[in-house]
Amino acid sequence: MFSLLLKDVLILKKQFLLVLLFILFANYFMVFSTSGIVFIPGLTVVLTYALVVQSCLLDDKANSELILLSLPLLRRDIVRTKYFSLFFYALSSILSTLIFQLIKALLSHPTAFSLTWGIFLTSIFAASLMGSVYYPFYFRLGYVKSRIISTVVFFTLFFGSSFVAGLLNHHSQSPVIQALGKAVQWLHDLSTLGSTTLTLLFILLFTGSSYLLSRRFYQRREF
Amino acid sequence: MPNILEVENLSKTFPRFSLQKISFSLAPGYIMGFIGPNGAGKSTTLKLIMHLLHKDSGQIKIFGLDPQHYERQIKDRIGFVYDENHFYEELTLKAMARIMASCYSHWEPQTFTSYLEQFSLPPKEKIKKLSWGMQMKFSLALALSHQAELLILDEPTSGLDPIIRHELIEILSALREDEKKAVLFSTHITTDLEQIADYITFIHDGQLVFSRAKDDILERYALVKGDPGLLTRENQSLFTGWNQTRYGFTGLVPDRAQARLLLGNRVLFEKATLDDIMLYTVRGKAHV
Repeated sequence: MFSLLLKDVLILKKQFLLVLLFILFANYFMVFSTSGIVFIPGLTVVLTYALVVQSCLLDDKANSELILLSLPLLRRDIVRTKYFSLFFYALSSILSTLIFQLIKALLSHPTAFSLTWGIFLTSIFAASLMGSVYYPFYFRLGYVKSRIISTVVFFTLFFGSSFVAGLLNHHSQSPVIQALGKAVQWLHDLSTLGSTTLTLLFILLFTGSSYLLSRRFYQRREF
Repeated sequence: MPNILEVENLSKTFPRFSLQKISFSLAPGYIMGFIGPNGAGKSTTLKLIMHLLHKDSGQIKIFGLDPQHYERQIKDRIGFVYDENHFYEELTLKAMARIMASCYSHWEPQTFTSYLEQFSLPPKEKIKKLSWGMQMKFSLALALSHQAELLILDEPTSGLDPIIRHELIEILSALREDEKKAVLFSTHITTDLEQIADYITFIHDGQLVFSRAKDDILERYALVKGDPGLLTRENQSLFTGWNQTRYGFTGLVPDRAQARLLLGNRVLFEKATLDDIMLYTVRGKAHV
């Protein structure tokens, strides 16, 4: 797995630099929001998605699967590393944002904010959700075919949230929405330990199911 | 000594092509040439051996092991060169080698460096800046640097200049001296094989034509030249294929002794090359 992670890091060197520049730009101008709870998870998802897709694009461009699958690696190693690198990209993005925010705080910049445990978990959860949706398509269909589907799914997830929020507000008196509201309130009232455990369980459930599905698809692929 | 590679009744069906019951084996210390025209199924066979494709039926054993269950252990002992390069163009040779090296348990940095020097490959150059021939040489250097016991080469010499092709042949000959290693060498350039191959496996249209010792093949097959009148219905069965003009015919016989017995001194016998054998087998009974 180390070899494959090393491969991703080496082929994405330029992209990592671009991501850093983007994080610097986004942090300086706070282009998305003044609230960390929206800004950091949003930025994490966008940048993780960009790196995941770039990595898959470069693999596809080189048709490198022929080489990778001829090395002493198993197909499941390749799938596992893609999921592992997803978290690596997300953590790198969060860490870079944190560093820039710390610098801003040191410079007493008015828009500096601190990274809370909740923001961190939400960011990881959002990135893992995105990857869990993208990878099964990628491993089943390859990069080119999966690109269209994944783009649609990604933008639906990303922008659909505001539509869903609007819908929830509009039908706020419906019993289903009220039950959902109670569930959200219950989640909100949970202790840090409770909410952390629940979030981690969700991450494990989504990512685990997605990984098993991707592995199954990839085992059947032919090159 | 047990075979390094055993392929038995290997079959794979695609919508427009099928590989049918291919069988051959390769013992350590030998080089096998794998020949056939384009689309014969050579790359499909090699991909099945490398587990890039899933077989429909048949058996493959490498180092006596089933690749489906011992894939990692087997591939650690295989060196491969494909007919196209599938490296990351933006990486330098050094970076690409670093990735590959981390996958193998017996990577030898000194061997790799010496091949880079031998092939005049600059380690800090980006792969995209290399010519096609240089990329192929880089691929060879990678395949030869981790003590591979089985080398699988898919058209490694196409695109290489004659000097490097000669160097490659020398390297492969040296490898053969280590009696633990074997080479499966698919190529269109059969003159390379006539120099170094011990065995030839010939497939055509997804079917095995033969898999035999090269010397035996070259000894048994012959080109026969003679008067067109000699190509009677009875005599035609002696030939794998022939080319006939109004002045004469040239044909390939798979059994020189039998042909000599029946045709005697009425025809001229000449040594057949692997190219002749492939050409007449593929074209069959062509008439002009």
